[in-house]
Amino acid sequence: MQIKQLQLSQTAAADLEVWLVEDHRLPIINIEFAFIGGSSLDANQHGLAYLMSALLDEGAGELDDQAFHKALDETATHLHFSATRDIINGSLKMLTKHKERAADLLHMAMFEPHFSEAATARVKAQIIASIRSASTNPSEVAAKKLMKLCFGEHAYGNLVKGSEQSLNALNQTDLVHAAQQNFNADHPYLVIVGDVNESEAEALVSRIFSGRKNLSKPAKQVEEAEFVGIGQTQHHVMDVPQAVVNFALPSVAQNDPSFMSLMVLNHILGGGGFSSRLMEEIREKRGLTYGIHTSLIPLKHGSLITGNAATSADKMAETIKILRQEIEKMHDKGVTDEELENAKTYLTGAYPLRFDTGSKIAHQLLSMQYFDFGIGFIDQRNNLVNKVSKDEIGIMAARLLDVKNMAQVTVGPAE
Amino acid sequence: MKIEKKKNGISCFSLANGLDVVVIEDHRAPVITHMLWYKVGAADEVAGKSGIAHFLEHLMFKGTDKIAPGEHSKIIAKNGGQDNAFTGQDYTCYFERLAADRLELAMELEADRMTGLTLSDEVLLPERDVVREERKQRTDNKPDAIHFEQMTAALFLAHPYGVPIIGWDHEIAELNRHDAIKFYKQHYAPDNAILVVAGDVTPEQVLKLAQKHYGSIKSQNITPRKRVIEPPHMCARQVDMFDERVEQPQWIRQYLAPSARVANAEKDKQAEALQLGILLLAGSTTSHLYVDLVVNQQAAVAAGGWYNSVAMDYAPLGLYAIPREPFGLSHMAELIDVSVANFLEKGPSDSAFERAKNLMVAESLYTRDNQTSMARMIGAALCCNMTLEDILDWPERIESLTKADILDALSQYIDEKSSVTGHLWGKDEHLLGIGETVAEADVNNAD
Repeated sequence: MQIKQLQLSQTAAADLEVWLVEDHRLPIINIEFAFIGGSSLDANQHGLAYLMSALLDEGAGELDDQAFHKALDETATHLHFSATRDIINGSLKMLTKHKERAADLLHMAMFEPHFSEAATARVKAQIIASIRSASTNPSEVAAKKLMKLCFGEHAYGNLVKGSEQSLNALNQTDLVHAAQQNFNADHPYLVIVGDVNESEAEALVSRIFSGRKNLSKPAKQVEEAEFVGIGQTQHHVMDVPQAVVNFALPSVAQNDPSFMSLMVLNHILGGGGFSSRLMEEIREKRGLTYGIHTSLIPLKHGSLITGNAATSADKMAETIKILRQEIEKMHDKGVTDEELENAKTYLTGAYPLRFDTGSKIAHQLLSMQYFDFGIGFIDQRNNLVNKVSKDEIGIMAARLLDVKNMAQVTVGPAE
Repeated sequence: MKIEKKKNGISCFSLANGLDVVVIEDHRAPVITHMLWYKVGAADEVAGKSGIAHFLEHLMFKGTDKIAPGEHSKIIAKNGGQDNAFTGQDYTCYFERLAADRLELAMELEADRMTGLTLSDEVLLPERDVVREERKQRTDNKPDAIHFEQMTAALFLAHPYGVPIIGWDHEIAELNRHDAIKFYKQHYAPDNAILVVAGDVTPEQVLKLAQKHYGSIKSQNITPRKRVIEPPHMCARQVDMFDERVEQPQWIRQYLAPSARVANAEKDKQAEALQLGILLLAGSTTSHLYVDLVVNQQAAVAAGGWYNSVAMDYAPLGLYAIPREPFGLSHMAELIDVSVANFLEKGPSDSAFERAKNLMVAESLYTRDNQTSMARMIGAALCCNMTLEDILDWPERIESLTKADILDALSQYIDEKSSVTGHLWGKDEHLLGIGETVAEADVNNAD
């Protein structure tokens, strides 16, 4: 797979990092892009970035909401935006024969959105409905409470979707401002994969970004997020047959020099599906849960190792006891040679599985851009995994897996 | 063994023992997906043993004479691969995703456990607890999932699709080694399986390896599935659930409709007509129901519909709506009935009709970007006794439909008598009162 970096001369897109992978075997083009921003810029207006990104296809340019959706359907174009804590993410999937029109629709969505009163009220009601549904789902409640416990008053502690109250307070001026702030910020990332050559790709990007006010300055700075949930536990009472536990430990950023050893460590602890230690001890040996997983959440201003499990209320105490024991054990003793070897053969062997569709390729490359790994990373990555030593993992485990630091939220019947 | 080449890089052949094999070539990445499908699912369980098909799927990872419990997944992982399995009403599927040069490993392991499963209570009992936790996680912890399970049970008067795939908890709790082995011996054999291999491989390579690993397994002369037929449905049913946990009320309706296989046997292209019809009626943000209820009347936050046609026997047509304050749940049925009747009377506009067709045809092209999705779509369809032609000729069949085709098909199956309507009520009962007044006012003002 050949990845080309495109240099765009047009001022509106001069700060853009654009990578292209040509593949002409299917008449499809996938574009993925990201702007630094997201809900961490919401300040007191919780849910602003999320609402804004949900409204971009509800009327823009010369098209009202219905006309915009029809234009997408007519060309079979898939356009999605989503706001996370650090970024506004987008994807555009299109047929080669409709690429110009699809690019124009994306341009309008980002730079000429209407945020009409009717559409705004409708989408607010949709988001509020989803917040209400989530408020009685124990897993969602636990995830939300955990972020609050970890990050407190920092923007990361808030729900990306906001709340019923905060959404109702948002108006058109707020939305227009949020769109400008996010889409004009310096240095967005963009990847194109599919049935398009270099000059066509350049033309498409120019089309998408024409008229953008390139601010040549980074998005508003966000404060570093302190992990304030050190050693805290919280129980939230909900009358459900199965209780859930979510937990977190402070972690290091994705561009930390030790990140690769942390990734291998997480794989062995709880990231590696059926072969992880937590799955082996808690599901396979004892049948306590359907699944227990850990993952790395590399946020820009404060990263986490998180995990979750669900089990019948009367088995929760035992599940948490074993979970804590296993984390402690890895903290004290690290991993075995066999575990490291197995993790390496899996992680290196499974790497190509992330590149078997156009949209997956685009997604992978976008995260390489975002984490500043460079265009050559794809060829070095497996060597980096293979270089990780048992000692390095031991050092990371001792540094990060201190169970005394763990923040823990349980949701279920009264204890 | 003759390889039959179809279009879009798809080919097929059968082994002498009855194993059908489909190869989907995709040479863009050095990766393969190996999927072994058994033509048996939850709908083939005997009464009182619900959940055995799915439980057996879990137990298939518990070892054979050659492979120790749990080793299957570990061997795949050590080889840089991923594996898992899933169970439906009509099929059970085991899959591995690996680098293309490890295809043989997947075949070796999968062929071994087609006949070699060994089970002890030591591994079976904790796994039964896992399945009961899975049921709690998927269903019992979620009022909307419990409600939908109850609605589906009410829709089917006789057919086993009314029993949930995962099973009823009290029956799962009693499943044992004997049940699992019996079900396994009865249904797992090459002549009851379909192998689908997608990715960077040629059909010739697959043939050679399949012959080597699966070719020696004996056919069991499995008798074809025979399911009961629903008696005539004579009255509409209503399934209302009140749950304090519910913050967001919702309205759902299911109509009994035939699967693609049955619909097309009744009348050519009827399944495609239902698919295109439901898309136009309720399947997108430009559909009739969404525009009417969500955009124009502002009576619902969301409204939509579905028709998942790939099944052996029946595939319900579904509609749903989430009321928008100050409208209440109690008015959804009437608003939707009026809106649907309106659509069936007037039909879609020419432009909407063409747009929906283009969209569906483009979706089938997008699916080809993903080898695993392709393998999954083809495996599921073949397990439901559809043919490769049904899938490969699908775009042309969609394109040839007329408006009359879709209106006839929808009108036939949108029949109150064979429907179940569900209301999922939350604690905010007062919404009902407000909704009633406003809805009436609004109906009077409707254009």
